[in-house]
Amino acid sequence: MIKKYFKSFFLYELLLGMKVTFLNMFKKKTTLNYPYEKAPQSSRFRGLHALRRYPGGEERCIGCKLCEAVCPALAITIDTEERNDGTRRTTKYDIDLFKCIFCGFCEEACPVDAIVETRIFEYHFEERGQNILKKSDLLKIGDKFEEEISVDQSIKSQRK
Amino acid sequence: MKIKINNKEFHFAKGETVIQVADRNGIHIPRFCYHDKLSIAANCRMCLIEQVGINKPQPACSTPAMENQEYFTKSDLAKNSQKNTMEFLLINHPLDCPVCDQGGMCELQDQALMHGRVKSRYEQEKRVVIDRNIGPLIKTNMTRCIHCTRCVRYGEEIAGIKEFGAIGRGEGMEIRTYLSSAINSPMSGNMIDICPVGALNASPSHMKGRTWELEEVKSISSHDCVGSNMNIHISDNSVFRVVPHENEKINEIWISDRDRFSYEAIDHPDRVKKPIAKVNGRHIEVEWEEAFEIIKTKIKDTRFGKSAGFISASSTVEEQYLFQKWLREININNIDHRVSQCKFNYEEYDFFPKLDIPIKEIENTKSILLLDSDITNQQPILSHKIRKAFLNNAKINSISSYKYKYNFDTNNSLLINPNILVETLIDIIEYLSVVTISDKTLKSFDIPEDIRKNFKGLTNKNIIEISNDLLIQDSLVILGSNLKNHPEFQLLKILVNIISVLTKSNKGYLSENCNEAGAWLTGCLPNKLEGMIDSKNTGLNVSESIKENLDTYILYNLELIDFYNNSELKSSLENAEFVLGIQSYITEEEMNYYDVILPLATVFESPGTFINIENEWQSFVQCCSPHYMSKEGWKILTKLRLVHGSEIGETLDYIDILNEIDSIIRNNKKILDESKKKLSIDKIKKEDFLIRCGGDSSYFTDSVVRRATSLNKVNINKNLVRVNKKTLEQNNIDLSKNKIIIKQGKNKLLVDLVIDENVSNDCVYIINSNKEHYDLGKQYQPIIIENV
Repeated sequence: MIKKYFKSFFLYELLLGMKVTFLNMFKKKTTLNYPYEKAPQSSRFRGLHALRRYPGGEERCIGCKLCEAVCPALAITIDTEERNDGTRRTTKYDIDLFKCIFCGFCEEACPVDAIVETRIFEYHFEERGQNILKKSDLLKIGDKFEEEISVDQSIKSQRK
Repeated sequence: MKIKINNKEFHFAKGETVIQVADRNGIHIPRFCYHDKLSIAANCRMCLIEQVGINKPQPACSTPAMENQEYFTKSDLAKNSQKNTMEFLLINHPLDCPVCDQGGMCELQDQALMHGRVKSRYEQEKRVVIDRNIGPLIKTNMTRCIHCTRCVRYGEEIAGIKEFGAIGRGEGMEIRTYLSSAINSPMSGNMIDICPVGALNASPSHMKGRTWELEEVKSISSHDCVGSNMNIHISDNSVFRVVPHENEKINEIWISDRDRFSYEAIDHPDRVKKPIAKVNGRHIEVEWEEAFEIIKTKIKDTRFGKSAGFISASSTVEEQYLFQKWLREININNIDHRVSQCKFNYEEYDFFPKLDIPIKEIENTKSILLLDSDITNQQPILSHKIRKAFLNNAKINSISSYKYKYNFDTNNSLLINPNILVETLIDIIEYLSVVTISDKTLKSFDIPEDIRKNFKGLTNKNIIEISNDLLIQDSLVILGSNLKNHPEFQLLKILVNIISVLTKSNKGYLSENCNEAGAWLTGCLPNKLEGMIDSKNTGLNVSESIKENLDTYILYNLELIDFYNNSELKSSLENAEFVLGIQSYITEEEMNYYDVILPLATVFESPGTFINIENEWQSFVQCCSPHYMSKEGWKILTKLRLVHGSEIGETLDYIDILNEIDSIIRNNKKILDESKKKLSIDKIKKEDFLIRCGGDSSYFTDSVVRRATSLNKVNINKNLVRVNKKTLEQNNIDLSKNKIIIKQGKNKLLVDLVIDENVSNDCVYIINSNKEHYDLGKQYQPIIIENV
């Protein structure tokens, strides 16, 4: 009983807490000063999607629709058509980012490594409808980050 | 008799192979070349199984089941041999499943997964085969071919036209057409279905989608009187492709190309997208309510009896029933569906269009007589049945104006001018009346006096042979669909009826439309009410209503070129006060004749029932909702009935209509009685002029098929005229030139000339395959040929 009064009178519990705070001041920081500092990313990071091209400029996607079929969130919509040279190409390749759960199944299903998930995770939408990435958007992302993607892809293929 | 498969005993009949016993009992044996409708080739070696006592694996497809033998389908020996076969097959098969249209429904893909190795050990170069263009319907990718030869055997055994063959040996073996020509068989599309890999694919749906996204709806074909069952595959509210639905009674597992590829017409530019009304001389798109408002005022204003309504015999039973109901409720009795018929002079003797035997029984008939029927092109499924009868040693004869190419051989094929077709049939009756005079069962049957008058002593040996063949038990007389345009069509039907009574044979008229029987039963005739009850207020038939220049015409699902006399029709429509069209398609030129056009859903977009030639009622459901602003026929017609104050409830449902039809027509068994009145026929005139023969191209028969783009690319000699040498010489035609001018009525046309001895004398053979041909006029009409 007296012990309890003694402890509360000398703010023992408070000091105990303060001790944790004090000790942490000398520890290495775990937070980052985002956006000036960024956490390291795995080569398997699953961020924004991209459609890739072959080095010659030909788009990789052959419109086989395996990604559409495997997508658990039904986020992908594809329309295909036969192009003049007799190959099947997509006329529409939409990914609804509101639906997408970034599971990466589309990337896994793709037989030609056309759809990939890049390291991009910083994006926002300002208007309704911007959440849907169209084929042209996806190809643009692919073109812009091709160097990074191809390095990641080669690492991934080694670990398969 | 018993065998053991995988330690279980199974019964078998003599002559069965092991794979048949296994299939019947649900034991899966992988296979590629074996197909239960085709002969056994045993060249893929995928079905190797173990037979106890024999140390080599045996092919299950060609090993006959033998008493007390034991087989193992899953033993190590069987499994290993299947695995090795699969590895060999995959040596040359490209691994392009994501690109291939067959991916997802591919037998090779499935069986490689179940019976193959995980990884390929083959690292050398693969074989590549050049693809050949074999026409607009089938897309080839022959590198994928595994040489099962199903398509080769299909051509030889089912289609009856040898088009594909295996050329070369070993590595160089190639499946191709012999003369690098296109495939012409009217049921070639079935090769796509039986090809176990993606070597043969459907061209119209090539690379447009994947198999797993499709939804399947069962439906009935609407382009011939057979009523083939088919499955329609739908993606995204439009038809992706059509495949056969198995029905052993009718089409087995085949459908004709026309049924398979006609869906392409659904979104043709000619499609009526919104109701159209003529306002101040201009056609503008209006809302449905406005269109009904116009119809309400216009059709009400016209005096009763001065209007006529024509409906297509390809419409569904429900549409036909509601159509005549609507018109009869507002006292319009001039209703008809026989728009391509020329004369109507034996109305009361005319009989219900049907085949006396079920379609399946055709293969068991012993003798068949075809009257001017291009059955192989026009009703390929029935032709296949006749081919089966032929292979069963049936005697097949034909009387025609052109020696059509059948996929079976004929015993006797008599080439005659269509003008003397009636006389020829009377000759047959004359011979038969002499032969059957002692037959007691025929005592009560009198050959009408008017026919007897035309007896004149028989000389033609062919006719005697043909008549003798008809006396064989189980014989069949078939009136071809070309004859619908024949001036004496009704008389021909009567004569065929007499022949069938005399010879106790069966008869049938092959309509080009899918629901002619329905049009009769629902009372789309001027003299018959629904259920084929005789009407008290007999209306005018088609040709009378057109000649009378009535005030109002209503055309339901009919194009002007469907009519027998379309130039006369055009002038009547021009003079009419109000013309209403309820149409799926309209051309810009035809639009000018209409005051209001309502957009009708096509047969793919509405539910319905068709009654086929063997009087089988087959219902189908809607496969996709109507495109554009069009509406299902039964909805439009119900609304029209409401507009005109019919006392049906606003809530009338499709099911209610079906029930009504069922109770009035289907369950009423009495209606099929044939008329037994005494026949009197007009004097038979013998006319002397050149006559046009050759029916409609099988890809130009109705408004849907006409607009199917791929079908109409099939090479069927578009602008050709065939005449024999004698006729040309008689008409002083310069044989050195390959073009002539043909004249029919006021119209003339420059066409290519082919000298062809398969045409009978004084006949000019043209297949109606484009609009110019139809504008000339119909077949069996006089025609003039001139030098260029």
